[in-house]
Amino acid sequence: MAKRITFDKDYLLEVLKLNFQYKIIKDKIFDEVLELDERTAYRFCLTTNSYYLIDKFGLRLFGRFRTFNHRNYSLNQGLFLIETSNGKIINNNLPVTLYSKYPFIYNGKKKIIFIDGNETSDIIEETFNKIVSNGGDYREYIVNIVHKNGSQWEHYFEFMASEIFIKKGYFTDIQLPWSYHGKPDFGIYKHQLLNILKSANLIENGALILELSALRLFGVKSNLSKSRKTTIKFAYESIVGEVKTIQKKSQILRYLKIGLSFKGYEFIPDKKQREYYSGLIKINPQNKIILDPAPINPYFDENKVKRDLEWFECYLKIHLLGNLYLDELEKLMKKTTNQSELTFKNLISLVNKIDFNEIVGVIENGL
Amino acid sequence: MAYDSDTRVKETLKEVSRNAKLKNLNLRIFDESNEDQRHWTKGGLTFGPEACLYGSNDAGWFLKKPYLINNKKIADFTPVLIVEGSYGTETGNTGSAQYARFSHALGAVIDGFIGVYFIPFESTYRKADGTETMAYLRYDMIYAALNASEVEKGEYLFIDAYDTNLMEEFLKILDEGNKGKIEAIIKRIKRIMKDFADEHSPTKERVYLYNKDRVGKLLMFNVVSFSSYNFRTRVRYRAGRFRNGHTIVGDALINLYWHKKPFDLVLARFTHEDCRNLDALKQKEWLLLRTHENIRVITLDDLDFEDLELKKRLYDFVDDLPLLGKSLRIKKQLAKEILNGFLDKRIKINEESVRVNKYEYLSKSNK
Repeated sequence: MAKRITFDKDYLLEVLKLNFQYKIIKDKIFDEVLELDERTAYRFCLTTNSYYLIDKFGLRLFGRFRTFNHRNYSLNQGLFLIETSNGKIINNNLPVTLYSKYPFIYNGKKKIIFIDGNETSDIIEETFNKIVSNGGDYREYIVNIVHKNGSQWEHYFEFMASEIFIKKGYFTDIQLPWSYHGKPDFGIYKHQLLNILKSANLIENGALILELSALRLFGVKSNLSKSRKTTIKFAYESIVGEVKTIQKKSQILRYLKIGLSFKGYEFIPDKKQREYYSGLIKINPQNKIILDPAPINPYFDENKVKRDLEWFECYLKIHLLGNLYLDELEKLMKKTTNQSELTFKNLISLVNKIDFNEIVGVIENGL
Repeated sequence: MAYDSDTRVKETLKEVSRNAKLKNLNLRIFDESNEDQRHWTKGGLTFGPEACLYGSNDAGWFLKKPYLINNKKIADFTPVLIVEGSYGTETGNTGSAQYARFSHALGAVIDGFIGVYFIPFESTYRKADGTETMAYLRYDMIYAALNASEVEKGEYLFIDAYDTNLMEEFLKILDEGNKGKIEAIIKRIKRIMKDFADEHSPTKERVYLYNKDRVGKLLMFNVVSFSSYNFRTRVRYRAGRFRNGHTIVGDALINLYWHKKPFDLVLARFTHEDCRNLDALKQKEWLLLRTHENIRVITLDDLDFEDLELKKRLYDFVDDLPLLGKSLRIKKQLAKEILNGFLDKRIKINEESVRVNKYEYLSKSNK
């Protein structure tokens, strides 16, 4: 029987299974779990409050690889950390560092355990203990707590929107850097880098921008045929998106009026019709996700977009550089800019002097 | 939720705890702040009176043995080390904004445990104009913490959030439980604190309204510091930028411990009516100020003026917000005149007026 949105794990599993063809498998400890390949699971953890069960506290990736808060050149603590009084980057949250401690994050299928509840810490500890006491391998599991009051559900819908557009060959972003009032929930981009990465077999269709710093770890997809590097340039396109779980009205118009986006989407599961200025992603009574395409943003401002594109390319490059170890980054900086100190300011100088092909070359072949 | 200061503190402390490979101590840490806000005896990370007036902490290490007071079991687990953390210096918290969390770990110190404020002692901070500058931990907080350790049952320590090795070493020693080693490392941490505070103290003495048997400090905030609603004007302030009750509480407690004297918070834009309205709201920070045995709230109604025209100007100014432009100039001028009035004794405190405005007095008279 058709049903409307209910904030519980059964509904979530149903929507994920039906729309993304993910497998729900029988697990000997937890019965039904969602099985994802390591890369999709990684994206799920980057977009939602989920935990790799490395111990009874779990490891959360959400927000960890942040670089910019605003669409300017001021880097924030996150992927790179300045934990010195002299401004030098000595610490980091780089995926390569994470890999050295927890390589299983980047290898092997993952089982996502969805648990209805609110008390995060108790659930993580109980789940971890249950795996260990039943002789399971905690490295295979990710736990996600499903809040029945609807809180955190925006993140699931952001993940779904992101996956839809990744399949369509776009870059996607969640909680994107924004310098105006509010913060859009997701962003979608077409950019020539997509083509470069596809040519290098580093991505299949599109990618979540936050996963770009782990390209090296996920490696080259063997099932993809390595094609000759193409010179075709994608026309740049940016789309902004806003999610609402309960309300029917979002701030999308406010974001469109800034003029930076070609189009806008609302993801409002229960909404029936799109607004005249934006597209709509909704979930029908049969739990099928329906995408009502967006019209061109009437407030689109070409000059603003040109300026924003410069920043966006810097943003992409910073995340690509996140594939390197700090010592590699230091060497690359010395070679390219003649600067030896790894600081936020020098990192931006490096980004301004290096092009996408060079960075991808280093990711593929090292320095 | 982004990778904000709170998330980073919690993730860092989890990692420090993992690295310390503890045998006896257990970590209590939550990703959701509503769990922090429960009292320790109810499974949370807040100390002091059960009304949780002192504010919540980020992490606590405990022994799995009953927490007893006067041989009565209070909770299943006994706290050993309680940590509140912030990376606020990185975002330019150079002034009184740092005070806002001082009370949190203090609650644990008052209850007889080790409280740690985990914060970078000095950070590079990028200002809005793009220039970089340094932000330092405030010396007065450190002196206050050192004195709190003398006055209270527990120890109040500051550990540099960039010195995770020291935090790890401290945890290992606490885990081992050797009393001599624990005393030695506490002494070492206190030495680091004192050296830093001595190096970063200004040569000029701080100016107070009075500093003899009691210390009196003037603050020119109004009732909106503690409430979004101004009861007198019936204006609701939706933006949170005027609310700084946490900072005012921190300021009062820091002065109290730093000078080891009872403290008077002279709120020259508050009235008895404001106090009564805020008392009825039972807002935590306000209640802490109103119920602390060594802190008094002195309002404009409690001041006797020789210059009645100055008093009238102050009453006319109690509700002005925001304090920008002309209002800021008026505020500065009035503050200067109040200070001079206290120094040459043209303004005095009316003790009877203060007495009838006391929280207990009002509570009793309302019964």
